[in-house]
Amino acid sequence: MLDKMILLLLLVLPLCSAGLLALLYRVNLRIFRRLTMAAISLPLFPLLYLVYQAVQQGSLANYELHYDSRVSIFSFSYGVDSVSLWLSIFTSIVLLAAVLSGVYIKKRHKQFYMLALLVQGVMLHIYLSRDALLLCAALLLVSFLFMLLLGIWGKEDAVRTARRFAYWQLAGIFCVTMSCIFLLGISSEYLQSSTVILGEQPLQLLEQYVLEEANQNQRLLAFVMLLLGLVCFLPVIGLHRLFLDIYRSGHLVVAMIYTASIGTIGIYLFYRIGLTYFADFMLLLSKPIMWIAAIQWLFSCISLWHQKDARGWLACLIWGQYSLFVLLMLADSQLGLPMMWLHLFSFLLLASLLSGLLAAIEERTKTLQFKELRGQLKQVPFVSGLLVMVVIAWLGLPGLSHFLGSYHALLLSFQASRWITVCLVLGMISSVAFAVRKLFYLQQGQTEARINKVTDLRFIEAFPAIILLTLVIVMGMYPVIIVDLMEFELHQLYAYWQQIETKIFIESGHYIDVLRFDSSAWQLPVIVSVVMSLVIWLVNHKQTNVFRMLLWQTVYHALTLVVVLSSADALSAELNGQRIVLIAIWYAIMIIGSYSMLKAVLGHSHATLAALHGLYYRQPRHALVLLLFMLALMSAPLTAGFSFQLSMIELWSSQGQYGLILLWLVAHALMATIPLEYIIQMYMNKEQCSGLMQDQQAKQKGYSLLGYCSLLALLVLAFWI
Amino acid sequence: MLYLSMFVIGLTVGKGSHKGMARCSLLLSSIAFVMAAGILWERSTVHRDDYSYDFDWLVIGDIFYRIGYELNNVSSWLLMLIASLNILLLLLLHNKQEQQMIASIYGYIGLLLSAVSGLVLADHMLTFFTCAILISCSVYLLLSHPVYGCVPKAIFRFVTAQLLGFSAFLVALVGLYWYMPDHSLQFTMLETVFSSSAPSFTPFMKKIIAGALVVSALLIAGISPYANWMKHIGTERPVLRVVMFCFANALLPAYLLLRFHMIITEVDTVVWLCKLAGAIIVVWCTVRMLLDAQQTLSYIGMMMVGIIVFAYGHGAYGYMIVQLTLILFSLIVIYGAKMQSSSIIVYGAFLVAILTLIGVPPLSGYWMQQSLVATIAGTSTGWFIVSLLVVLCSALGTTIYFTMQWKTQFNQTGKGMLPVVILPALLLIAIGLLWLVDYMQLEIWLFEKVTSESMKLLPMVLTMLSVAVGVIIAWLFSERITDAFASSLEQADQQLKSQAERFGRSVMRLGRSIVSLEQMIERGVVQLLTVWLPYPFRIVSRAGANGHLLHSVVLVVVFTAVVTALWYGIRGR
Repeated sequence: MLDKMILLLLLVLPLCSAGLLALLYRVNLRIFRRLTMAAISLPLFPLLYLVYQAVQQGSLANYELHYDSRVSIFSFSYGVDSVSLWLSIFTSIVLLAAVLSGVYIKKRHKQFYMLALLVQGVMLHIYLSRDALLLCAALLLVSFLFMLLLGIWGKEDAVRTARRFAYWQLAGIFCVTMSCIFLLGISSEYLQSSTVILGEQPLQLLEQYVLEEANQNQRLLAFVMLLLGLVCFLPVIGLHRLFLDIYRSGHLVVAMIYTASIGTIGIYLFYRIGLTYFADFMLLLSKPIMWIAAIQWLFSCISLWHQKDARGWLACLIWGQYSLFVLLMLADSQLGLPMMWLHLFSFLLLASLLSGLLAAIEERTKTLQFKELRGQLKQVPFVSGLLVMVVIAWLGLPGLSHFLGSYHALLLSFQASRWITVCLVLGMISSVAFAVRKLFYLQQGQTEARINKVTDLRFIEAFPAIILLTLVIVMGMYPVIIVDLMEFELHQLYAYWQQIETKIFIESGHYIDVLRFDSSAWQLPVIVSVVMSLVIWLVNHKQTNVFRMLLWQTVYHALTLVVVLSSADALSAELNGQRIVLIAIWYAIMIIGSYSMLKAVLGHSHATLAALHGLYYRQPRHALVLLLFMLALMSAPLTAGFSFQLSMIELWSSQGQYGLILLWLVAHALMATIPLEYIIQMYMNKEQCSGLMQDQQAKQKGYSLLGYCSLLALLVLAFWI
Repeated sequence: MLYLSMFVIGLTVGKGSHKGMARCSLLLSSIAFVMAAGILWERSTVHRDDYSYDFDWLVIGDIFYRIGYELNNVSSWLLMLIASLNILLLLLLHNKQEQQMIASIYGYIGLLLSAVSGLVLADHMLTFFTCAILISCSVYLLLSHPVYGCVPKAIFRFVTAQLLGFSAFLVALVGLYWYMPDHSLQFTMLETVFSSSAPSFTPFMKKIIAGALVVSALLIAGISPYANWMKHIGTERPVLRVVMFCFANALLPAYLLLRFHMIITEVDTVVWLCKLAGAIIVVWCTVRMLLDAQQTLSYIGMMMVGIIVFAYGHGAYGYMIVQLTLILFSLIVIYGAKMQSSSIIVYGAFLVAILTLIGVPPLSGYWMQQSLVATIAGTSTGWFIVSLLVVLCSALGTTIYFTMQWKTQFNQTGKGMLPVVILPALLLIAIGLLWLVDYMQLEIWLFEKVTSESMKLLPMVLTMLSVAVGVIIAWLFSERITDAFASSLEQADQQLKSQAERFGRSVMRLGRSIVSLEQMIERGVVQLLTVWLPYPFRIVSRAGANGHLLHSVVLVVVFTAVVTALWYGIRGR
C-alpha cells in the first residue's frame, strides 16, 4: 500500500501544487516564487526515498500502479525502475535550478513558474508510465506546455520557432503512437495484455516472441515509424535547424528546461521502445546509425567555428552530445548503456549550468555576441571561474562528470569502425580549440566601452550553479553511486541483446499489406470522409476567417463520426450507441461553445484571426476559456475527444485496420494544427487588432454566458464519456 | 591530497590573504617533502619489492576500473624530485619580486603538483591519462592567468600542441584497450603481455600504438616548430616559466615514454625514429640558438628534452632520469641566482649549474654525457658519431645560453634566500660524485638492470673533446663569426617561415571553403524541403484561405473527388 502511495504521491504532487498555485495566482510574486521552489522540490523527497529503498531492497519491482481505463489498449499503468528513477531525480533537480534561475524571466513570471511545475508533473508521468500510449498522451501535453514556454518567453522570432517545434512534436508523437499501435496488434500473445508495456519486461520471453511469434512485417513497419518518430525528437543532421533555433531564439532558462525534458525524450524512447521491441533491427542498423552520429558529431564541432554568439555555441555543443548518446547506446558493449545514462545525466547538469551562466551574462551585458563580450569576464571572477569549470567539464576533463562518457564514446566506437573514432577525436579537437579560444577572449580581450561595469553573481543566481557544479564533481569522482543502481537492469538488457544478436531475422514480404487498404472497411463513405478531411486541411489551414475555420472544423468532426459509423458497419463491429450519441453531443457543444466565445471576444465585424492577436493580454479569462475549447477541438489528452479516438483505435486495431488508423490519425494531426495556430496567436502574439471596437463589450455578455455554460457541459460530459 | 588541498585553499579561503596562502602552501609542501623523503629512504634501505594499493572505483558487469598507485624506485625518486622542486619553487615565489602572485597561482600550482604526483604513481593507464590531462589543464590555467599576461599566440599554440598530443595518446589508449587481454589497461598487465611476445597485438597495431605514444610525448613537450609555445611567452615571470617547463615540458613527456617503453621498444622503426628525432631536435635547436639569440631561452629547454628523447631511443633510461633531475635542479639554481644578491657563493652556484648543463668535467653533467656516449658506443658506430655530435651541440647551445644569462643583470633585491640556490647546486655536485664513486649503483637501484656501459677511456675522451669543441664554437660564434654567415642563415629561416605561413593560409582557405560548401548544401536542402517541394500545396492553401466560402467548398469537393477517383483507380489496378 505504501508503495502505491509513494508512486501516487510522485505523480500527483506537482500537478496538485500547480493547481494550488493557480488558486494563489494573486499573491505577491516573491511568495509565489518561493512557493514554486518548495513545490518543485517536493517530489525529490519521495524520489530520494525510492533511491534508499532501491539500495536496501535491490529492486523497485513492487512499486507499481495500475488502473484500467474504459479503453482496453490504454491503461494508467505506472512503475519505477532505476533508469526512470534517476531520470526523474535529475529532471527535478534541473527544474529546481531553472525555477531558481527564474530571476532572469522578465514577464509573466507566475505563468512561467506554473508551467515549469506542470512540466515537472508531466515529465514524471512520462518517465514512470509503463504504458506506451499513456506515454504518448503525456508527450502531447508536455509538447503543448513547451510550445507556450518557447513562444511566450523567447525572442522576437520565437513564435515561429514555437510553431515549428509544435509541428515537429506532433509529427514525432504521431509516428511513435503509430509504432505503438502496430505493436498493439501483436502484443497480446506475449504480454497477455493489450497494452504496450514499457520496462520490466520478461526479456527472455520477449526474445522468443520477437523472433518467432510476432508478425515480422508489422513489426518492421512499427520500427520504421519509431525511427521516423526519433528523427523528430532527436536533432538529426540535416533536420537539426529547428533544434538549434530553439536554443538561439528561446529564453535561456526555457532552454534549460527544454534540455531536461523534451531534449531527453528522444533518447528515452530509443532506449525504452527501440532497444527492447526492436533490438534486432537496431543491431542491424547500428553501424550506419553510428556513422551518421559520428558525422553529425564532427559537423556540429566544425559548425562551432561559425557561431557568432554564445547561444549558437551552446546549441552546437548540445547538438553534438546527442551523437555521443547514440554511439554509446549502440556500442555493442556492456559498458555502453551505463555510460550512456551517466553521460546523459551529466549532460543534463552541465547544459543547465551553462544555460544558467549564459543567462546571467546576458542579463548583465544585454548581449551574447562574442564580439561584444570580449574581455567582459575579467571583471567577474566567479562567473568566469564557473564558466571555465563548466566548459572544461563539458569537454571531458577527468575527474568531472562528462569524462567517462566522452572517453567511452571514443573507446567503444573503435569496435564499429576506426574511422568513427577518428571522426570523434577530430571533433573533440575542434570543440576544445574553439572553447579555449573563446574563453580566452572572454576573459582577456579588450573590453567593449558600451557595456558598463559587469557585476558578479548574486547569491540567488550562484546557488543553483553551486548545486549543479557540486553534482558534476560528485558524479565525476564517484560515478558508482549512479551506475550501481542501474547496473543489473542494464546488464539484463545487454544480455538480451547478446541473445538477439545471433538471430537477426527479417522476413521478406509485402509490408504494405499490413495496412490492409483493400479490406472491406474501405467503403465509399469512409474513403470520401478520410480524403475530405485531408483536403479540408489542405485548403483551409491558412484560413484567417475564424468562423469559416469553425465551420470546417464542424464538417471535419462530422466526417469523423461518418468514418467511425461506416467502418464499424462494414466490419460488422458492434458500437456503443450511447457513447456515439454522447460524442456527437460533445462535438456539438464544443462547436457551439467555441462559436460563442469567438463571438464574445470578436463581435460581428472582426472575424479574422488578426483580431485574436494578444487576446491573453486583453481578456485573460476569455482567452483561457477559448484555449480550452481549442484544446477540445484538437482532441487533446484529458478531453472526451481523446478518449473517443482511443476507442476508435481499439476498434480498428482489433480488426487489423492499421491503414485506416494511419490515415485517420494523419488527418487528425493535421487538423489539430489549425486550433494550435489560434492558441499561438492568442497567447504569444502581443500585437492587438487596432480596429476592435469598445462598444461591443455590452453585446458580448450573452455569448460569454453561453460559452461558459458550454464549457461546464463539456466538463460534465468528459466525466461521463 | 596535500597538493590538492593547496589547490582548494588557493581557490577558496586563500584569496583573503596572499601571505597566509604562501605560508600555507609552504607548510603543505614541506609535509609532502618529508613524506617523499621518508618513502625514498625506506625504498633505498628497507624495501626492495614494489608495492601498490588499489580499489575498484567503478564496476560494470565484469569490467573493473581499478584505481590506485604503484610505488617503485623510479616513482619514489621522481616523487622526491617533485617535492624538492616544489619547495624550491615556492621559496622563489615567496621572494619579494613575486609578491604580486595571487592565491590562485598557488592553487593552480597545487593542482599541477597533485596531477604530477598522480602521474608518477599511476598504475592504470586511464589514471595516467587523467593526470596528464590535469597537468596540461593546470598549465593552461597558469598561462591564461591575468597576472601572467601571456600573449594569446602562446596559449593557442600550447593548446594546439597539447590537443594534438593528447589525441595521439588517446588513439594509443583506444588501441591498447581493444588489444589487451580482458581490456585491461593496467601497467602491470602491459608488462606481463609485452614480456612475452604479445600475441594479441598485430605488428601494424604495435606500430600505430608505439608511434602514437611517441608523437604524443613530442607534442606534449612542445617539440615541433609550431608547438614550441615557450618561445612566445614573456620573460617577466621566470619562476612560472620554470614551473611550466619542469612539469609539463620535461617530466610529463619523459615519464610517458618511460612508462610505455615496453610497447615502444617492441617496434624498431619507432625506436629508430626516436633516436633520429632526438638528434634532429638537438641540432635544430642549436642552429636556432645560433640564429636568434633572443630565443635562446625557449630553445634551450627544447634541446634538453631532445637529448632525453635521443637517450630514450638508445635505451638509456637511467641517463634519462638522472639527466632530468640535473636539468631541473640546474634551472632552479640559474633562475634562483638571477633573483639573489650578487655574492660570490651565488655566482659559484650559478656556475656549477651552467657547467653541469654544458657537461664540463668533473661535474655530474659530464659523467652523464659520457655514460650516454659509452652506452651508444657499445651498440653502433654510426650512432656513436651522432651521439658525439649531440653532445657537441648540447654544449654549444648551453654555452650560448650561458653567455646570454651572464650578460643580463643579476637582481640585488632578494637577500636571505641562499639555500634555494646553494642546496640544489650542492646536490648537482653530489650526484656527480655519487656517479663517480659507484656509477652502476643508481641505475641498478632505479631499474634493477644495467642498461649502460660506462667509464671507458675512448668515450670519456671523445665526450670531453665534443664538449670542448662545442664550447669553443659557441665562444667563437658569440665573438667572431661574421655577419654574412648569420644573415644567410637568417635568410634561410625567413624563407622557411614564409613557406610555412603560406601553407597555413592555404589550409585555412581550404577549411573555410569546406565549411562554406557544407553550409550551401544545407541551405539548398532546407530550401528544397520547405519552399520548393510544398509550393503547389501552398498555392492551394492560399486560394482556399483568401477566396470566398464557395470557392473553398468547390476546391474541397473537387480535390476529394479527384483523390477518391485516384484511390479507386489504384486499388482497382
